[in-house]
Amino acid sequence: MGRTTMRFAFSEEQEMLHDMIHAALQREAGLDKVRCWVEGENLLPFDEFVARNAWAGIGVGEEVGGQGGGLIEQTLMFEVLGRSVAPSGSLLAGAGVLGFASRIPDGVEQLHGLLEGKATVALCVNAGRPADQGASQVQVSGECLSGIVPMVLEAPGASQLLVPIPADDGLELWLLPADAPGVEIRSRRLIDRTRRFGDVHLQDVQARHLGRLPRDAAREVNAVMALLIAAESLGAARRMLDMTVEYVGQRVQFGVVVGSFQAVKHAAAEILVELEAAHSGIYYAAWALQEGQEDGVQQAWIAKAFATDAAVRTADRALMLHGAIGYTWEHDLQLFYKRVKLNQELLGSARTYRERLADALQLH
Amino acid sequence: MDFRDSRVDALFRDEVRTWLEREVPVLGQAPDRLEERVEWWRPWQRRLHDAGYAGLAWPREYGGRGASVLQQAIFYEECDRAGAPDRLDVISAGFAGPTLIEHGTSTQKNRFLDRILTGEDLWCQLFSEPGAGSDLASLTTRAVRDGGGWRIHGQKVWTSAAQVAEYAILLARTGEGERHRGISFFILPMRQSGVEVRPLRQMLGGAEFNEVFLDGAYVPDELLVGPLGGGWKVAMSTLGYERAAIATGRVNTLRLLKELIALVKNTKDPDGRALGQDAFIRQKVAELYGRMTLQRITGKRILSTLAEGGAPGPEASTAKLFITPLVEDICDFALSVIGIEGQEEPNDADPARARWLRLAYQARGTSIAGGTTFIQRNILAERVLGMKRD
Ligand SMILES: Cc1cc2nc3c(=O)[nH]c(=O)nc-3n(C[C@H](O)[C@H](O)[C@H](O)COP(=O)(O)OP(=O)(O)OC[C@H]3O[C@@H](n4cnc5c(N)ncnc54)[C@H](O)[C@@H]3O)c2cc1C
Repeated sequence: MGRTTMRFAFSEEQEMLHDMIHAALQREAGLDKVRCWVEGENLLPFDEFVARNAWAGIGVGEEVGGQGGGLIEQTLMFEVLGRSVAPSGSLLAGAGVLGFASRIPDGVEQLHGLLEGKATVALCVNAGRPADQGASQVQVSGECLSGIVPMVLEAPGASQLLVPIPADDGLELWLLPADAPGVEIRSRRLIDRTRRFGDVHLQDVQARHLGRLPRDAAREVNAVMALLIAAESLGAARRMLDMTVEYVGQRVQFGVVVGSFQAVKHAAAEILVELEAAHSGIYYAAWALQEGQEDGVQQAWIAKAFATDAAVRTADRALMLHGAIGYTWEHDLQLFYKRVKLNQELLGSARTYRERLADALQLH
Repeated sequence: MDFRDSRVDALFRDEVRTWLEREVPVLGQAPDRLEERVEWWRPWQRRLHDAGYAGLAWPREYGGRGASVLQQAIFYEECDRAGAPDRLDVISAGFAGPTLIEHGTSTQKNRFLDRILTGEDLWCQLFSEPGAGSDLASLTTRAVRDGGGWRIHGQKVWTSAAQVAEYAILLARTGEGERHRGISFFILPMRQSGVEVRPLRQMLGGAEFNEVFLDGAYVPDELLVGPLGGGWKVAMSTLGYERAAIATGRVNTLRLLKELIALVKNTKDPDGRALGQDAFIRQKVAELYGRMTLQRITGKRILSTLAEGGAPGPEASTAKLFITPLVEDICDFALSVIGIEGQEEPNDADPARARWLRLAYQARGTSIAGGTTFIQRNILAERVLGMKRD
């Protein structure tokens, strides 16, 4: 308040939040642990850690039971989560669920326990498409839902499912317990094993109607999720860059560290150019969405398209710069490599968002 | 310039096509695990051999057919067209065999070449070490004199297919001298004490490359290739064959494009429209198709130079740098058409999808193996364009 100039830097509180999350992850969810969870295909220890810290409430107003802060804080958290390839799928699903619920009257109150980490609610949509398209293959008859929703993020392990069903110019929101009669969840294994996916089969499942969300509100929630994915990819990419700079600074070939070759330096520098652009776009979009600026949704699309692609280019450059060692299972690079590949497709690829942007630009 | 087959070559092409059309369709799908794939592949290689198609361009005296390099190329083209199995003998028949033909003794040729062509013996390449990757000449594995032979001590790494290999081509130091002096080129029998193969898991999970620990493994004198201490020159010709093998089509890009087109045809966008009507998709497929044809024509150009007895020109050195990103781009694009389900762990439910994923990762490996992209660029700039070393 009272500022007269624009400011991009984070506030002191935001810096502290960043450091707090970073330190907690280093302590409780280091790469050795992530590896162990991945190999054992059990992400519950991380879910429990997140629940203890109530991280689902970061960026959610205290008046509805959250920890306060806004989208900038939440975005920061996701960037830090990306840096650690933390199994953050349930936080991402939770952000979508909360986004939907908070835009209908008493929506958040109806999701008991989500903010405190006592319940996990999956957003029952195909995770490879924008969430605002809803679960289009699900039919409603009275209060019963039937249909199949493939590739639902964090469906295995969720205690409830929030099913948004397309209706004219918006989404109808339905809630059901994941163990209700008629619900079957079939797990699918992706190569990024830090995330759980499942196909949700519904057959005459009794559900509770929560309310109706207008199209624009649904788009805004989707933009928030897209932004969080972008931030996560940025975090993962920054970590890959750090790993690479460190490695080429010690790997000796031809009697010198390979980091002294210009080709190697240029490749690293090119990564940096892209990641700084991604950083600008992501935090601008966070601010714009948080403050209800007109261009918020569009900037989130741009951030998603650019940052998730840039992170994949980073991954390939990082792999090349590591040589064969980076191509092994034992090297941590593969964890980040697979995560950013998945993030590229999650919620729809860059092509989807560029298409939306082109529509908005009214090219014809 | 004439791109048509000569009369003889056209007859040869017909013969090969008829043979492949009869033999290939009954083969079925290759298993994923390398060890099982080898067992599956061997009878096929045997049939190729018995039909006279193994080592087409090798001299008759070493079990080849003495045909021209062009006929060899025609054969591979027809294999691509017919969807014949991927070759598992790229290291043995593609780099080790030609190296022996060029530098080996007649005893070595008689002993090893035929068994390479029948597929009985697969080979691996023991060049890279933990400390010697791009800078291969800094290798430290030592060969120590022992009676009529040598004892090998050292460690190799990233050795593809060591677990299924009977023999290896090996670089080790036999003498003092700076860097590439004092290095000798050996044939190492892999099944002996003193050779320990430990599989290394690759990033996608499979274990196709290995660490190889050499602790007193024995090589008799008659398995030295080229002059003692003169192994570097021999190794350079092996690396040349390796590059040529990668460039002229270890991966069948024509088949990939056909599969990509089929994938696009069978896919609808979320609004239910045929994907093949989407302007972006059309542009992208056309771009990849175009690059595929250029890569294949370049391959022919390399072969026609060789057929006329010339040394490979600059096009041969550029070919690896052209094909590697092409394969990456084709696979990445196919995976993007498939969408999030393309990121699913390879499984039996959808082998086509699993293949795109595997190949996408494999292509990243190829851009590192046989000299990284950066090293290839250095070679082009320095040896082809004559620019100064830094
Ligand atoms: C899938 C796979 C299979 C393989 N199979 C075999 C095999 O069967 N047998 C075998 O012997 N080896 C094999 N290799 C090893 C391969 O030959 C080496 O990985 C390769 O030569 C690079 O060495 P390096 O991994 O040690 O990387 P490094 O040499 O350590 O390179 C690290 C980075 O530095 C860069 N760099 C190094 N020097 C320069 C320079 N002068 N200028 C610019 N940049 C430079 C490289 O491009 C790379 O980006 C295989 C590798 C892979 C990935």
